Amino acid sequence: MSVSIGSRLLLLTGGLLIWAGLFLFSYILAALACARGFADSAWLGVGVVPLGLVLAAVAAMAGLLRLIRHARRLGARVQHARRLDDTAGVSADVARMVCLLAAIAIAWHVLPVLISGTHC
Amino acid sequence: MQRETQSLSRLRKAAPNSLPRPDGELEALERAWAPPKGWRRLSAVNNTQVGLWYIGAALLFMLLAGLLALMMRTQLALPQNDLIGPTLYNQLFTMHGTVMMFLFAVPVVEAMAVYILPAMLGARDLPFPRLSAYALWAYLIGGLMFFGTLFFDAAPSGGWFMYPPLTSYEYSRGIGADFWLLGIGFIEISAIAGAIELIVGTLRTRAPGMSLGKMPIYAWTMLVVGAMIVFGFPPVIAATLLLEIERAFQWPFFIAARGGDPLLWQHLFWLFGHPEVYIIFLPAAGMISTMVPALARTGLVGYRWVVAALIGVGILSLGLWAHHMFATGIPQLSLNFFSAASMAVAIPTGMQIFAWIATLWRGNVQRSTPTWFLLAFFASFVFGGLTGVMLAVVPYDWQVHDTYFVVAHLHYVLIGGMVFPLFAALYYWAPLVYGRKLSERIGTWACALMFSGFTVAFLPMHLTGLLGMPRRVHTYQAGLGWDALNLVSTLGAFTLASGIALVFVDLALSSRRTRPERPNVWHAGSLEWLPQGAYGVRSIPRVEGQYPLWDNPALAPEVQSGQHYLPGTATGARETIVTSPIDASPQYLLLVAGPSWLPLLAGAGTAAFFLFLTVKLMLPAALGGVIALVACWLWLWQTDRGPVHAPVDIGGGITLPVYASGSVGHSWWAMVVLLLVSGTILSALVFAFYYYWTIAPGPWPPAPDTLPAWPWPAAAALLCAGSARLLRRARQALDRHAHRGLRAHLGIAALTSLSAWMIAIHGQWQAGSLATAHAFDASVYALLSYQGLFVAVVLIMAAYLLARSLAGVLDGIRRVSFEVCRLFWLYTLWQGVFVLAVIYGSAALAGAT
Repeated sequence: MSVSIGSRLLLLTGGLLIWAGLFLFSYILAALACARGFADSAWLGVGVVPLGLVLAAVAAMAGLLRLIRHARRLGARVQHARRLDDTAGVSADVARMVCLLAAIAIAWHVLPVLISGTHC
Repeated sequence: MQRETQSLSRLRKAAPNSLPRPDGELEALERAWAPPKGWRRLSAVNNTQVGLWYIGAALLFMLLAGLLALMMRTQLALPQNDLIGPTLYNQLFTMHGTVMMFLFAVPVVEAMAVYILPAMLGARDLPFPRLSAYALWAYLIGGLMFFGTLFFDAAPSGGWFMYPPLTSYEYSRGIGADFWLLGIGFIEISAIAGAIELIVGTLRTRAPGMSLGKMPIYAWTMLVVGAMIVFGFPPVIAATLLLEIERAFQWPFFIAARGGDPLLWQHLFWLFGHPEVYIIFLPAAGMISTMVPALARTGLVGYRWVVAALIGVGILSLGLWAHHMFATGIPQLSLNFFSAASMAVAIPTGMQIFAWIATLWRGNVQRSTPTWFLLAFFASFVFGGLTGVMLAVVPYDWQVHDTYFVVAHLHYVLIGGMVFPLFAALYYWAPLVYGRKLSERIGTWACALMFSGFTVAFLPMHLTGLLGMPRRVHTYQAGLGWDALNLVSTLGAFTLASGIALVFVDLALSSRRTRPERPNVWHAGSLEWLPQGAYGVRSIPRVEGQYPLWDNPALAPEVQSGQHYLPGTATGARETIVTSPIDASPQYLLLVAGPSWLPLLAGAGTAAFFLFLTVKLMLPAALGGVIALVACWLWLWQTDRGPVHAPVDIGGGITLPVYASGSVGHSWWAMVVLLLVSGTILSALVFAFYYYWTIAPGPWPPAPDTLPAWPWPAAAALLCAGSARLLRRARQALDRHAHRGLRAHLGIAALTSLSAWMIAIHGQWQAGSLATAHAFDASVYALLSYQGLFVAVVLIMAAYLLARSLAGVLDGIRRVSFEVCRLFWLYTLWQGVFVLAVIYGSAALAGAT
């Protein structure tokens, strides 16, 4: 199977790119919420900003799980094929480790807002 | 891919080339790579020469900035000292920080990579040696001129991060701030040139078989650092452009009274500034990951974890910028995210530290000077990292913000995290230059003096800061509890300096006892310890593991005797093998550029252009610009030589072409990286555009009628699309060898691109929008001006391609120049459409148009 360097780099960095996407979303959401005055708004009794953040974090975690599964399948294929070249195996392992880092960063990212609230 | 697999299967066969080698093969290789002699040596471009000069220049700037630090410490040794006045003191701390960060720390890590990386990858040189030489000369000449401003009372004085409004035209009327903005702006460009070289070099010139999974950690590090420079440096280039434009033409980007915001500068600056800390630290970490296994005589523990940690630090560090802005009053909601990210980045950093400790624990550590410096690194960097976590806690940061606690922290991180590893590296890799180790005795004394001096200087500063002493004050009252602490810090600073001076004495003494051979004194496993000449390695090794010299103890004699790939010069010129980016399968033979005066001329011209522009000497500035442009033109003209030789046999049954175009070619890759840089600068400008929206107290845009009616941007966008279509036709004409058609389509496409930009800017002008009126208008004009810059480059490229076509050196086969220019051109056109969409589309979304 042909693999381009772009897709390989995407696999390696994918976990943290998902984190970066969540970070960007949070930054924009916070900036708009504070600038446009809807930081404390609620929908059905739930704060709009925490709700948005949690939903985005859940989506990010789902993305991470998908990526980890993909990396695991790649790793299994490498083991099965007993290929001499280890690039795919290293990439699969590194991708999973990066996803783990990203999962910690995402949990750590959302927690303070849930604890300390959404004050501007 | 099938071809790649076939090549890999060939790689697994033993001994790509047989013995004995033909007579004269080695002599021909030596002739091709013979360095220029005498004063012509300045025209050398190969990485072993340029890398050494680059390292020397960076160390020179470290010494100069260190002298400034000693002057400041002397001033602060006693309370109410009047040795140095406040004006000079302001210049001293600004220049110290600026020179250390921009002229020492980043250049030295790039310089080390320029010197070491090709040898470590098994390449004969980097893919663009003249680009490295250009980066060196632009940096050295520009840096010296910038430092010289101190002697003419023209040095900047706004601190190394140059916050407006202090640095705006109103409060800093001299040319000091302009020197900083233009000087640093173009030094950043030099750093980006270096990054492009390192990224393409790492991905495309690895020895056959050195797949990503076998790549040395140092190469992984430089790949991550290169990417960080690509995404981290553009915001500060955008920021310096905006502030210089504000100072020169009064476009109010940072003037609150006209819709601007000084905090925008802080955002853009720290979007660069925080990744920069890791851009400085990660190469040092890469060096440590190389030195620790060699010194401990065992492989690095957790190779894959360390790669993951490097990627983790690289990406997480891009989300920390506002942790330098906790005290600015940005919303608490946002502070949460930055505080969390600041703490999260400690995890991958810690992973690397544990990997190094585990390696040392597992191995049998050699007691030597590099080991002592590494131990100094562990002690100081871990301490600095922990105070960093303390500063990531928002209330704590509020307490110590802008105090000496922060000064202590940043020096612990930077000296601990970069200077100690750098000095370990100097001692570790010195045998590659001198043919022997530096003096163990002097090195041990130097390390002891440096570490004790560093601790005595900076440990008390934590207390000084906690006791309330602010940074950047030129003196203080006696009796505030700071007197003894400052005196101790000054004594420590001089002790640290004496240790550094001792290292330079050692380097000077050793340079008189140089040996020609390069012994593997540490019994290391990486390729830079192979026997090397001016040509690099005699034959390019086949790599089978992460530590090739440990995996195959016979590799050095095999390579030396010419048994591996390309055991000589196939074309009579300088060459290296270009391999595929993932599996490092040989793809083609790159003809490496040889000595030339053009990079030196281009570098000097670029430096002259920027610096004369700063002092408003327009004629010399224009002359510098023309020299730079002509030199670059001539330089590029020589690079696209076409298939000057039939495909060559490099051994092991592999035959490689000597020319490649399209996405296989290394130039195409360099252009892609450059476009990523361009896109990131554009993103920074778009960030500024939207930033004004979030802070606008009233409607946004403030005066909707200053945006032109829709036909203007629509016409401009259509012309962009038309130009792209014409480029496609030009490419088809090139395929058919239809030269007239090629020239006609290129010419019309250039005029169409220019017309699109002129229509966009005319529409804006006709609507009555003035860039000086409001930050919104200024940001619109900034986006259009940025596009204008690209259109200007496109016009030069079009002229270049037309000239090549007329000269008969552009055709369906010899086409790299066309492919690369076309890529830039297409990007420019799509950037034009995007800019129009941002300006007019988003204003419409905001309900204003």
